[in-house]
Amino acid sequence: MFDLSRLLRAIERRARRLRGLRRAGIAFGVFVVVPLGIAVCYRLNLLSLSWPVLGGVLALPFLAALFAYFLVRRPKASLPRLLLRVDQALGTSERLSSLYELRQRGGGGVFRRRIEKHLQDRPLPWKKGLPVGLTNLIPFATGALILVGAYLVVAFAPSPLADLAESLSAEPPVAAEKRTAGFSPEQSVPAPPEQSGSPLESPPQEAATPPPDNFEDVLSEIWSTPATGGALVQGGEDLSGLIEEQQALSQAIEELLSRIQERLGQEGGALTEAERRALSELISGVTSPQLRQALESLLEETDPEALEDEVEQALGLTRALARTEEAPTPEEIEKIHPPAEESEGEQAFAWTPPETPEEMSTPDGEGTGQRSAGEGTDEASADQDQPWGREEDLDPHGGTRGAEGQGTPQEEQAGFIPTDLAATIGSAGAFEEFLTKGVPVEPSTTEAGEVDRYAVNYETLRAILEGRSIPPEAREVVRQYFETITQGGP
Amino acid sequence: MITEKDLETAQATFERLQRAIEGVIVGHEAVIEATLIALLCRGNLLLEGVPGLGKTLLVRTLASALGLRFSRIQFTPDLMPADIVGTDIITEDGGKRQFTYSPGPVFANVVLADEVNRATPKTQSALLEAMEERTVTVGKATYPLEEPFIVLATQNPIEMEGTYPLPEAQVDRFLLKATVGYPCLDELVDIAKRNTEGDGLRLPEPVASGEEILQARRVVREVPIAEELRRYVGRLVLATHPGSPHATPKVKEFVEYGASPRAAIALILGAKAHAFLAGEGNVRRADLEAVFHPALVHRVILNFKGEAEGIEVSDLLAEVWKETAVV
Repeated sequence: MFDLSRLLRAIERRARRLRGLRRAGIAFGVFVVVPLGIAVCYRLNLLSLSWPVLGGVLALPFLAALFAYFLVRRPKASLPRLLLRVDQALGTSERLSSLYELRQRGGGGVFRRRIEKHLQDRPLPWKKGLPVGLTNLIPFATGALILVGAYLVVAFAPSPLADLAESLSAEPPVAAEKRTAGFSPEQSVPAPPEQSGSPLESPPQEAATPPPDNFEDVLSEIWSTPATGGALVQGGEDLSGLIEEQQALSQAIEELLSRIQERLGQEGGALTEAERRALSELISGVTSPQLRQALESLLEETDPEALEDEVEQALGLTRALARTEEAPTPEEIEKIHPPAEESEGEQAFAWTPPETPEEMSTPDGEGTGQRSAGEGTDEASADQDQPWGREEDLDPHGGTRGAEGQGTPQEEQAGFIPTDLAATIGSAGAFEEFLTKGVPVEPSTTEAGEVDRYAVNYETLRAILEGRSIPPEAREVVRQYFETITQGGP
Repeated sequence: MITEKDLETAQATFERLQRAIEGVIVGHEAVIEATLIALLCRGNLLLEGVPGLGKTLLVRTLASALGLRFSRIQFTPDLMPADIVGTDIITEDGGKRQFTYSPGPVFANVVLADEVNRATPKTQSALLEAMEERTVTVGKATYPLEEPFIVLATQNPIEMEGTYPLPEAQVDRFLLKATVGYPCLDELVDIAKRNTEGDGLRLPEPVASGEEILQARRVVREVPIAEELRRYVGRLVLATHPGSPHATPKVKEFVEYGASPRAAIALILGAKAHAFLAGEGNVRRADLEAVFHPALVHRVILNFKGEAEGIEVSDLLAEVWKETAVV
């Protein structure tokens, strides 16, 4: 006699297994996002996790799949539906389904016997209707393999930041010679002397801290600093808005001063009431204390001749400030890297961040790198009110460099200062190093008087930060950057 | 409770009946099968085909093989309802006059409504009660019809002038609709031979009684059908409704009204009868497939667009069958 009950139990078990596999697949699919997301965050340095933790995270989707398979309560399967599926698969003319129907309604003896006789007379490989096997596991295993592969690729592939650092460091030979000296791991680094004071002064350095050896590490160190990392993103957005505002304001002041200068040249006399009002309104938005002071003294000036001088001075100051807030023009880039010497690809890396103060104050380039030895030190204190300081403030060698003439005139004109240090890049041997003019970095000497490293010039740094209206929340990041690339102060 | 003997007897009865009919009617196996299914399901059958294909002969053969009362009503435009169901007439009994009911031709076991679409809708409607309730109401009196009762109506699809298409309500009361087609060459030769040699065509002797038919009907209703197949039938019927989520794109575009719940009943009952005739102990999907078209083809009403574009209901049903999944 055909045993329907036994078949039903077996089918039910099989159906549960199938359902479990299906749910395990869903759970796996849902939870697979977690390790992948974590791996991506880890790769982008948004998360700092140890390898055992990362491995544990990888196991999460598998555990979720196991949980879904074994522990999640499964509703009872619809037997009529399952039986019809088996009927369809086996071609049993819906006899199993009908037999179940007869059993449920408790009758149909004649038909029941006929159906059972039919079913008894033939083999019944009912598992064909509910296949659980390799075909069910292949998608699951494929998904797992893809997960592990993707996880390994994401975890071990070079990060985009590393690529960026590599592309920046892989400069062409000419640009490499001219680049700002980086920190060489081969160089011995003496522990910086301890200093205290304002945040812009050199803070105490930990001698035991190993120097970062690539740009990626430098960036990750800055980003991971709680005080600055989070604020940097917001600060950057605020900064660009602030710069735009300041550029518009500078342009308005420049136009107004130009009109005043033109009128005074033709008519002479004092400022009109409308000019005073317009100037007063614009002064309220000025962030540079030097410009503010210049404009205020302009408003107070009553002597017509002195007034013309004041206007000219304020106009020059406004233009100089406006230039500090702009990216270098193509002409400036060309001046630094003449097209005859470099290819187009090299020019892509030829941006030099800040111009020298002379370049900023005299757009025609007059006096760039041409100061005499005596001028710098004598006039430095007198020019401290200038937003960027004087070249002598920024250039640790003062005017003596120009006099000594160690760099070629072209290099000096391009904004680089030769140093006494030599850099080693790979197996290519030693290269002469140059400092970009205007950066608050200077060669430092050891107790024995040898120049073997770079240090931050905090006075120059402070002058730049204040002069360029850099938001306070970003100043610390800038300071950290220069400290990181130089290993601190003198 | 159905016994093994009941089942065997019923199946034997219909095997004899089928053989008797096939002894007279050449070909038309599907039509014969539809006729037997309608008889087994206590339904009525609409036969459609051009004249001369043996529709009337089939009905007469069936009646003869059953040994039951047979009446033929030739529907014409001037036919009145009373001509079908009967009327009260004045009779005189012992000097006393009184109205006496005179039953019409509908009082038979097998009624042939020949060219039913030639009568007016009013006359056609006279059959409604008889077909569904198996009763006839004249005046204030209601008269039951004798079981087994079956109406087999024929209609000619080509001579449409002066005809009255059957109202939807009446069409829906036919369990199945069978289309009688032209015989093939061999069948035609056989028909010619049977009618032109010897004594000509002879109707069969009765091979089944009314009681045996009723018993077979009881057996058929007990044939099991799986719950999931019943749901499948429901989905099939709903798939003919343009507003249903089960409907196919063509149904949505070309159908005005889908099949009624009577279609689902007809489909399941017809499938049971088909399984019974096939000697099976349960309804199979194949049984449903066999009766799907005749059970639904007259119940799906095309919209104007469908009519204008010459869409065939048969094609729509074929698509519905193909698109509707069993599980």
